[in-house]
Amino acid sequence: MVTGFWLQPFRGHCEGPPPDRRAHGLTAAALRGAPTPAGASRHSRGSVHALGGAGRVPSAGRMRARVGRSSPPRAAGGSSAEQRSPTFGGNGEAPTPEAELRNRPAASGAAPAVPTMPGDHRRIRGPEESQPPSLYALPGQEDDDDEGAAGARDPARLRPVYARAGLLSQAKGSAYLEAGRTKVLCAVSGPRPAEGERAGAAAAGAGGRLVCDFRRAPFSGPRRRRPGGAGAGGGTEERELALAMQEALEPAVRLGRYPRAQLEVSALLLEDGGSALAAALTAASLALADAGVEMYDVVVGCALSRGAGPDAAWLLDPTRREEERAAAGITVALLPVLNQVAGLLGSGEAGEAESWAAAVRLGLEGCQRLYPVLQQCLLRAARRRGEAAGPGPTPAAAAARTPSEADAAAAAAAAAAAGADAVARDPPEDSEA
Amino acid sequence: MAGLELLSDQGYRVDGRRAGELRKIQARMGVFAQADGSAYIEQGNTKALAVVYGPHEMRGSRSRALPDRALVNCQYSMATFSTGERKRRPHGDRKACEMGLQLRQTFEAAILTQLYPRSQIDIYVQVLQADGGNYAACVNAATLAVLDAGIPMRDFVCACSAGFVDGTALADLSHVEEAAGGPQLALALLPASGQLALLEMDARLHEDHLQQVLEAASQAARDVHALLDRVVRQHVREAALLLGD
Amino acid sequence: MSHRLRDLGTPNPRSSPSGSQAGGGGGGRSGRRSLMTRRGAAPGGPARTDDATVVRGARRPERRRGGGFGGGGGGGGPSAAGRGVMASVALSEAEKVYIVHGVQEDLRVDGRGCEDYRCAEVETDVVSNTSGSARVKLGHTDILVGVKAEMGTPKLERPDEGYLEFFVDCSANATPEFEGRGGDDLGTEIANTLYRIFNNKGSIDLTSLCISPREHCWILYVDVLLLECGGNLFDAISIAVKAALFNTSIPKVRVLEDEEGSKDIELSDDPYDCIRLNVENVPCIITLSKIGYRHVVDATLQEEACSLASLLVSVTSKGVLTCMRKVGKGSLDPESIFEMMETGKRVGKVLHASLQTILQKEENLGPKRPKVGFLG
Repeated sequence: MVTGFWLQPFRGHCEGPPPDRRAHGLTAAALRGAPTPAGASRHSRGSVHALGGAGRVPSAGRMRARVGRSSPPRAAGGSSAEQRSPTFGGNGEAPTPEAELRNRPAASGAAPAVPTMPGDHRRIRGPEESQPPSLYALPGQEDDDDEGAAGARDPARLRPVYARAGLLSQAKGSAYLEAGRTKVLCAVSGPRPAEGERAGAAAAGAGGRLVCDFRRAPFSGPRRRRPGGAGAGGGTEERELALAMQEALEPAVRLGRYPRAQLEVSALLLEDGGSALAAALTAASLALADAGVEMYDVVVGCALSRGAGPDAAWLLDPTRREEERAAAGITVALLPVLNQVAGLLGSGEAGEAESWAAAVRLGLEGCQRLYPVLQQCLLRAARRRGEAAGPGPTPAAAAARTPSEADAAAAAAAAAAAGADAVARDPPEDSEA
Repeated sequence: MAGLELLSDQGYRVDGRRAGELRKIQARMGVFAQADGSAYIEQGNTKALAVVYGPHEMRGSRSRALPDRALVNCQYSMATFSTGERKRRPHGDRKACEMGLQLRQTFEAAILTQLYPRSQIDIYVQVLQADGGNYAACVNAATLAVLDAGIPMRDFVCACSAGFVDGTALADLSHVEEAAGGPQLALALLPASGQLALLEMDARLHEDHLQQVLEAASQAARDVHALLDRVVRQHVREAALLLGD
Repeated sequence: MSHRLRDLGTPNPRSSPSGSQAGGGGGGRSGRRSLMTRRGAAPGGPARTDDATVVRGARRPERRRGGGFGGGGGGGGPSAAGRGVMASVALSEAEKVYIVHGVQEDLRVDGRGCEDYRCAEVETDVVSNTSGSARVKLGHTDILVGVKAEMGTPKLERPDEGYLEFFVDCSANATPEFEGRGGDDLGTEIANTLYRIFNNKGSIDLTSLCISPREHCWILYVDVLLLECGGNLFDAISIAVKAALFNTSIPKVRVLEDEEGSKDIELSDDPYDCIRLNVENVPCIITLSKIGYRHVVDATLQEEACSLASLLVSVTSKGVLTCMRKVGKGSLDPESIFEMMETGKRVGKVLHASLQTILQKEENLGPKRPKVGFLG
């Protein structure tokens, strides 16, 4: 089924020659707003690599599981391996697994020293529910670990954004996005034949289905969350955000081109530094574009929050601290080229409708300012992919690049112009970071 | 509930009824427009809604289709606010599944399922307020709903519960009487033929008394039949009036 | 809980089997109030509130047409087209065009204008073993809400407040698709939206639900039961929730502290000695469905099938927005969002005003009010 689809790369962002590399470095540095661009980018790249490693872990896990299955439960250390090996020898089958098994405990040479008694975590049981001590802290004693301390800030400032598409090798498309402390990883898989009880319904409709999943990592917030969303209310909040993602992405994806198929988008929030849904939305649309899914436009998300009180102002791209203090919050999602609002989700006390309208306007403006960053990111990803796929820089390619120098310069100029907005607004950020 | 006198010396029950007396029954057919058939019934404070969809094509997997008759599919659910303590889930628990199965058996015995081979009839009942005799109220409501949908049946299915206190059989137990923990008997009757569609009893009862309790329950079911019959006739009259005949 | 048991334990009036009668007659209607918001002749002008009871005969034939008595039999029947498959009524292109063009002319299929609600029927106190309940019928959408007050411990973050819990049961009554777990997704979505519209300090005074800080508070379980859906679920549910909260009475409790410092909670014996909630600021949801170039309020299932995107705003009686959300798989123009917010605010104020009048009127009738429930 899947092979029946021929996926076009995201044309809108692949056309034209790749812009100059230096331009990226410049933009990225400017966007990160760090005084030492090299250090900053290295830091972020480091985290990306760590993520790539994490992505590979499942395969290793699977391998180990396979070995484990052919053996009785591993009770303890290396001695059990010795006991086990005769069984295999007696069978006379599968000499290779036997060797593998023999080698394995030996390889983890220090393993025999592992204490055979497992920790009795049943007897020493912690309290059923636990709360972080911060809840008992006196108000006003807040640690100022957050970026953008309580002081007044430009309500229209956007935090520096780092985005990278196509970093997970196993997903069809993926993206990682960092905005301030918020870190989101997003992966797209599919299109594949729609499954589940709704398959019939999907078949009846004209187009395919977009399935979204939003998860917070257990360590994403100040309080540890139980994974799997089993905690009270936790699961429903994730489901609500997943639905919001789905409703905001659906207008952008040309689902009509994927009949009877489903696309799966999953977002993992690694750290919640505020504006999580907005970051997840942006990352998800990057991942969709990276997967080569046909889209009308990318989706850019932006969050706003408003403090308590009648004369409070709407703050663009709030941090977690600001969100906690806020009386109202809203997330808008924009299709920047079509100028259509794809998603809108907000609640709280913000007074009259005019105030909300102002928030939406401010949010849409913020989305427009973020858009060039995403363009850059997609361009880079597409070029990286092209380099990986191509048989190295052939002379022809090199030749092709030379005449397009002018175009590249133009693109760089455009990027600089586009980024200028963000840069121009960011200087206060630099001093803080 | 020790000390609660379920049957006074004068022969009155906690709520003032005589031993063989039913609670007040009010019913209405055709409550909803979108369903093929629907009905609502109040038996005392027990309130139940029943909705019937079908007969229609099989939903979901077609392998469940029966080649010679229709599949009767029942779901029993209780509104989360229907009981004294709030329920966590309206359906899906063990008791609800069991009730659904019982309803299905009851109605497979009554509906002429062989008329609709390879199709499905859905009966959904919802208890809005539970005050004893939930099963009976659901069966009675479902009967009316099936009639409202115009699905042919052998006969009405009329259900009633009965209990046994101090050598006397009590018809149509209320919640207080059920909670007292005596024997309980639920019975679904096809009144014209006198056949039983379902009979269920829990708790201990001496076999000598069984006949007496059974009598009480079936008499009560016949009384219910008289009432339901009147509801149906009234409904048909009104419908005919609206059609302008 | 003496309060709740009061109703369960009430001796039923003695009645002989022959003494009961089906409530099919026309008499019992007066108990249920109907609510109608209609825009005046001038567009955007002051809305006329009409809270007269529904003329019964006028509604009836319509109900029959929908496939009431004897519609089954062969299986399809006249009801097949109108059957409430959630937001997916099969409409032909021609039907869609007809609806879209009608909306363009401010004339909808059922004769309403773009900002008119259908006639809504509201009745409170329909389930006697709840703390408060209401049933709302908006066109073919039928909602029953029960509120139960139970005692619990306050949330850690808000030690001196009680809280509300929402649960929406999309029962199979509404459509067979909801059988089993089929309605769970929609139920969670609606419940989340309800949490959202109550997610501010102004909606309801939660501190009045606190019994003793950090230890005891009232938890209001607001359970929504979806009985039939004929479009515009969110609005109908929010109206029903507001009506049920208005109807809610929570028994008064006293905290007695003895010498050792242990606390005892005493429930008032008098069933009429209770707290009522102030629902003045409880918002209602207004769903504005974009059809063609215009937007309509209170869309029917057919109209919902023609709309790609809707904006859902929750408005209080003072016109304050507490929540907004885009629903559906389409996108909206920024300008139309601002227009829709304005419309929502305008329509919402009118809706609140007429809802409040009706609830008050019903309240004034007191316990003598004949209850209609599902029998009328």
